[in-house]
Amino acid sequence: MTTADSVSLASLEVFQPGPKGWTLEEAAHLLRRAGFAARWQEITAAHRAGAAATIERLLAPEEPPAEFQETDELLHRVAIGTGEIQDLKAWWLHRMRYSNAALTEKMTLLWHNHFATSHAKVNSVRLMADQNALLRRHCLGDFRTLVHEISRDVAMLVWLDGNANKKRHPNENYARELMELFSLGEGNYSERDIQEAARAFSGWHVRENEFWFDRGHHDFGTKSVFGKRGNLDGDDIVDLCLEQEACPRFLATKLLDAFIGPHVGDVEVNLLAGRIRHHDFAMDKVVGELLRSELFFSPASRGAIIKSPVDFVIGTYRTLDVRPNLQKTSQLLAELGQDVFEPPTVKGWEGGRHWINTATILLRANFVADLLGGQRYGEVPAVVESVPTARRTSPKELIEHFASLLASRSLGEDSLERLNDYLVGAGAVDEQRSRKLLHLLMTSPEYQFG
Amino acid sequence: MRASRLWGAVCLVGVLSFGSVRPSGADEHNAGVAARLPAGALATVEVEGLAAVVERLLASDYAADLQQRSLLAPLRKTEGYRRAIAAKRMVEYYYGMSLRDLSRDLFGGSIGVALYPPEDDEKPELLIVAHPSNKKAFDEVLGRTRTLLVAVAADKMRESKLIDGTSLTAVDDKVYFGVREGWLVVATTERLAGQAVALLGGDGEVPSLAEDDAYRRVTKRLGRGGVIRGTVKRAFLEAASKGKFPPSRFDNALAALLFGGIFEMMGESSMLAWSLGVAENDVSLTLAIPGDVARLPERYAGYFADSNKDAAPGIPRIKGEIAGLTMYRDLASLYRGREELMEERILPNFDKFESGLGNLLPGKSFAEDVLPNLGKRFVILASTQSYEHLDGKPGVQLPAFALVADSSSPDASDLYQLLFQTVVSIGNLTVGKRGGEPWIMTGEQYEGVQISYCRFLNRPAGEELPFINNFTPASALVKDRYIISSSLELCRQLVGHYQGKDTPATENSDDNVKLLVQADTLANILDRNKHLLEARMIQEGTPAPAAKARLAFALEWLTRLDQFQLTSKVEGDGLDLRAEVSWK
Repeated sequence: MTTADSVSLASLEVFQPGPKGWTLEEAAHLLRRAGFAARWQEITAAHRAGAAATIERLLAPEEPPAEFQETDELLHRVAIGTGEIQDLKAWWLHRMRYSNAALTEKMTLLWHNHFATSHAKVNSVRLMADQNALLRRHCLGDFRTLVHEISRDVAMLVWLDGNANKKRHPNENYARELMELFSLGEGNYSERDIQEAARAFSGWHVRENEFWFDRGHHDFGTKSVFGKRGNLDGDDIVDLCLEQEACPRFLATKLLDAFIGPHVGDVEVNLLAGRIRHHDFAMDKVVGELLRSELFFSPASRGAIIKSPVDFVIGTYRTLDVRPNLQKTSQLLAELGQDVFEPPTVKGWEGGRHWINTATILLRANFVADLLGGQRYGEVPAVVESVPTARRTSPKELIEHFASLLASRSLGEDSLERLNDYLVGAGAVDEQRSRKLLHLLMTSPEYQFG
Repeated sequence: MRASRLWGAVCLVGVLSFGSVRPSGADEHNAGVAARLPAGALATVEVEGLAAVVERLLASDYAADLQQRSLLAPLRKTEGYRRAIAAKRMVEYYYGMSLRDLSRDLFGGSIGVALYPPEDDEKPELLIVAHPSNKKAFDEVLGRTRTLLVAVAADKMRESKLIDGTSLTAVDDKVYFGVREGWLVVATTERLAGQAVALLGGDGEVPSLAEDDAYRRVTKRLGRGGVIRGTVKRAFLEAASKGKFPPSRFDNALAALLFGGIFEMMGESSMLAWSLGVAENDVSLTLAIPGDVARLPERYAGYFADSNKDAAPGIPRIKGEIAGLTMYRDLASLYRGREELMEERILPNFDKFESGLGNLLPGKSFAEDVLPNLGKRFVILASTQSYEHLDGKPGVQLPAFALVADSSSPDASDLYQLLFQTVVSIGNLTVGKRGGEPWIMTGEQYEGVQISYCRFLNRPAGEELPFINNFTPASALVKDRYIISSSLELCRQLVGHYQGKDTPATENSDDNVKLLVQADTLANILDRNKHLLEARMIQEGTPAPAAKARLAFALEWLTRLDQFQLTSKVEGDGLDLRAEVSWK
């Protein structure tokens, strides 16, 4: 793996296309990183539309088609009706696979990992669905509102033992995670701050599956958090956290990890933190600037992130236009280490290099083999026919087409040559051979990066 | 290889005209197809009067409806379909008649197909005898086929020998043909063809299948009737399935409960017989298994009552009935014999089950203390629900289920009551964990019977209520029957039924097992949960419009049906298994 150690200091400046203009590779990179990858036709459409228009469409997608909405409502209704978390997982995977608001789903997944809450403890599909709706509603909105609302979210209160937080026995779980995982990060608060904040959240309970301010268990006494004293309540604590210098930096690190890669330094973090402060936590503006930046399109950023299981699997479906079996996909994602709605801990998924180990790399390869050769996860439509005629006049062209469609990193001359030998040796490039070529490409180390 | 030989036999049917030295007989086939087949067959199929049935089906609204369905549109686009249509047109053009007429005239009379033990080959030999329903058309087809064959394959044909004035024609020495007394004979060996021709000529030297003792016994058991009838030797069935059928043990407890004893009965007879009957409004498949249940090993005794009369309770007819299952099963006896009845690998599940049950019934043995008290005659019912206990309806609407068991001893009803209370307690804990509305145990007098049941602490209200709202567990002891139901509504209905509120309680049944499914109510409950079924199909990758169309199609067809029945009955010297579908 080769990644750049640093990037341009002026990296948040608006991206200026190079001498060749806005390239297909750049369009593919944008759709991969700010969504879950795309078919060739979508990449070329984005290329034709230009970077600005494509980013605008990602930030403010059109109304989804009626058929999608109808299916979305149906799957949601069934998940609530059966009370089975597998059905809710299938519903969300359907959105990730088919929604035209790919960035919205990506951001919802990002916040699901940030405010990690698991059905394993919440034990209610309705509450998990409500939290998911909350995350989606604010995913590209005001982060302040999101934190305020997540503090009252019933699933979160169940997950972090809200009902156990009482005046005489304060429970620190939520106060601790609010500071450590949701807004500031370790080292930016004291144990005393947590203890006092916990008192402020006392009595923030759940009753009849609704948020309930239990006055009898709330501590109305004076608290002192981050040097501010008074009869502080939960909302005051959220505001105080968001006012801390560390908060935008913490948030900037999250966003840079998700959209740029793990290689960015303090300079970029500070730059983006400044923009977050400037935009007063308006995520659409912050993410918009990030996607439009030189930093986002810099060569160092491309292929710098190890694909999460969701990116790997859903991205493959979207790229190859597969109509997947959603239940089996959900099971596969759990095996690959990203069981949506059931993150392993309050810290969410570790991500990065943790996505790949000896077991999951084999599972990824088996998934590709199953997909291209079987029907377990869905059927891949005719591969050769999906390639524009002009791009399959020779084996070399076909390889280049698939490489630019699938790989975010250059395959290298050696790999390309071997693939060319493989195809040329086969004589006619038929459907079966093309599938084997795809298999080779998608099990390559390069395809594991997004 | 075998398939190509058979195809050759069928396609080259016209060569028989070379060997036809006598005109076809009039209606002498009435003696039955079995009299035209030599004895010793491994498996047979006899068809009588299929043409009329096919004609009726083709002329029905169902066929017309199917033709118009867009569901068939994808099939029409396939290469296979196009080729089949092209072949059909060629055949129709060559013979100057529609394929439908051709099939009716040639195969609409009597047909017998039989497999015989091989002489040298490892695979069985095949014999077909057929008496066309339209002699004129038959002769016409023969003439045209002869012309065609002479033109394309004359060098491969050989007139083999004369048997009682009928010559056999061999094609490539693989298929042999002859015609006698209006019957067409096609066989894969000369010996077999010769025997059939001799039988058709009334040669007393060759014994016919109709004279075979095992055949007579099994077909007597099967009775008359059926458009298609067949027999199969058990040894052949075992060899063909490489010993897998009939299975010696079950690997599924439910299958063992429902179908146990049937396969073992097959071991009692050297031959089985089946028939497919088509009447005005129903189609039925019957399997006859001769044998004596009393001779089965002791471990199977739990499947059969001492007296076959009144073996199982009748299925009560209740409002909204979706399905009913009645059976006689001595659970204690079967459980004790489980190691011999079921596969080794599923036995640990019983141990786990017993351990779990031990927590609920401490100090009791499941096999010795619990099962013997549960009775031997059971009815399981499923019905639609009206949800009177809710202000709204659940998002997923389940049928109500009930188990009715004989409860001859006070211990048994206590045991059932304990089971009921335990289920409710566990249910309440589960619901509580999920934040649902808890149940309160209460009771009422209904038709003079005390019903214990659960109601929700607060009456649930709203649309698309959670799944748990399908349940209001209830139980009652009516005379010597214990009822445990997932819904108070169904429990009340059953109490009313057994108290003879509207109609006399259902009589006992002579069936060993009977499953009855009402298509209307099944369609109704499926329709209520259409969204769930659609969602399941979408989750599996079916596009939403296709899922919707397929479901609508299935539901529409289901509503045209009336009932589905599956029955096993021990009577006289054997057991009969019968599946029947009726339509409106």
